[in-house]
Amino acid sequence: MSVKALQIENLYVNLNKSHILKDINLNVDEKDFLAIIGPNGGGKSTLLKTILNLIKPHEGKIKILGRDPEDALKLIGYLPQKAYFDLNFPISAFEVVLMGRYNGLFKNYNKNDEESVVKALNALSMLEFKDRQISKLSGGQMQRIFIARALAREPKLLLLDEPTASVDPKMQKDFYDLLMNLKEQMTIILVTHDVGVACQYVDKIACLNGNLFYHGTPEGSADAIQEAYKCPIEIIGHGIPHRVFKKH
Amino acid sequence: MLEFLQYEFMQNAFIAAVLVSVACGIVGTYVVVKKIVSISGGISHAAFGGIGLGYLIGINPVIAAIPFSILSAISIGLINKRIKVSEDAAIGILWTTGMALGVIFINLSPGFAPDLFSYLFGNILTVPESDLYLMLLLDLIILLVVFLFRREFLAISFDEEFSKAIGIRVEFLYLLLLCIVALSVVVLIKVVGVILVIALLSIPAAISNQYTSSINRVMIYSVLLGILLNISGLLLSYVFNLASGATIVIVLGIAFIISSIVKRYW
Repeated sequence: MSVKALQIENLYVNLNKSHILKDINLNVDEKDFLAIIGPNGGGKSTLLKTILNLIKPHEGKIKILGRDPEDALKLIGYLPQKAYFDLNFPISAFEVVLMGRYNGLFKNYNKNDEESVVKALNALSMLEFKDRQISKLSGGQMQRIFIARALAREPKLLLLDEPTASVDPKMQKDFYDLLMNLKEQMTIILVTHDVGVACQYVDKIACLNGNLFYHGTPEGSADAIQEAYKCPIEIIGHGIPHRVFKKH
Repeated sequence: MLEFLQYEFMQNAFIAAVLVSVACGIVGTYVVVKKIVSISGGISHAAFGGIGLGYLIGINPVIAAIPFSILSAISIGLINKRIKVSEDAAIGILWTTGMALGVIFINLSPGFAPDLFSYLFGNILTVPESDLYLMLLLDLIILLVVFLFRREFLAISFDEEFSKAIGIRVEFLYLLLLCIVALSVVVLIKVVGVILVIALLSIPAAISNQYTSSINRVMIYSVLLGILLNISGLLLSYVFNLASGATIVIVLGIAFIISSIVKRYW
């Protein structure tokens, strides 16, 4: 049996004495493209943070490519939901992406790291902006810089927390096209509210609202999505609820 | 015209101005970009407790201020992360408790505290040679720590959450950064005093940050600007016979106003 990209067994996470995640079991194969959907407060970001070892689970176990979360940080690229930073911060786009190459105390960034940064900036068509100060970029460009920061790590597992929350439809499409390319090289897990759009691209969907309601192909997900969100969801197809179309 | 340079106290004052500029330029850059100006204010005022302790046990108050300000830096950092109280409140508690302790210690000390005023508001013209060596040593420690941890300090200043996700021990490094702030406060005490320290830690870096988008350049500009403005303040206070700490702060404040106007309309 090959090693799973991500293996979660009986995971419970409590924050401030309330149960955020209950009995989560989830297996993700290598080079899978998984979308995690669910209502606000359903524990989507918490799940990503637990995988990243930012939150300790109350119970259960997580393996990333067979490793414990604390030993797997080098394998993971992460795009936080919101980057809280000061717009006047004296830092260039290049330096932001270079942070993605961080490799431990006293380890200087070398030529290799710089090449990875250039590659990542190139993949997002942001190379020409590399010397720009971060606040001199538009919102969409900034988002691409943060995605490049995650990619510069050359991860095996890419975790994206609502990457398309603040981008226009054109960029959204470009972004998913980019992910379809990246999928050849890495496993991608994406948290999103754009259920309809995500369904056209991803291989699998997981519905999360405290519990994991569903994990499988997008086609079979309609009822579970409704169950998780506790309201009817029109997934796609203009007025035909509860049907999901694969990309044509 | 330059005959005042023959006086030893004046030479010491010039050297002090340079030593102070190194600390305030390098550390002040982090203070400004990480937005820890109020925390740094808390640490500097709390350092007064150490000065009082120095009077009480009869050692150089500047030396007594070192452990005291480091302890208060760590306390502010930990109170904020471990106990459910806002950073704002933690600063207020430490700020005032430290100063109150200083007052009590001085109360308890025998006799009169002659140069107390200089620890509160600074006097660059009375820095003894021994204090210059101490300032030089602290400057070297600050430079070394910042050089070794520059990648981590940059990352946690920019984005703590992402820093955690790439395996940086954010809490430890944040406390280390606050300790560096504490050391720079000690370097600055003799020149501007605990009450005015925060001007030197924030103004040169705030001005430099208006003109460049590289943190290394902000540091270099801040050091150079600090030297220029400190020496200007020193000369003005000598010529007009004004309190040197306050004069330096006024010069810094005016420089900031001019820089902001230039930036806005040029």
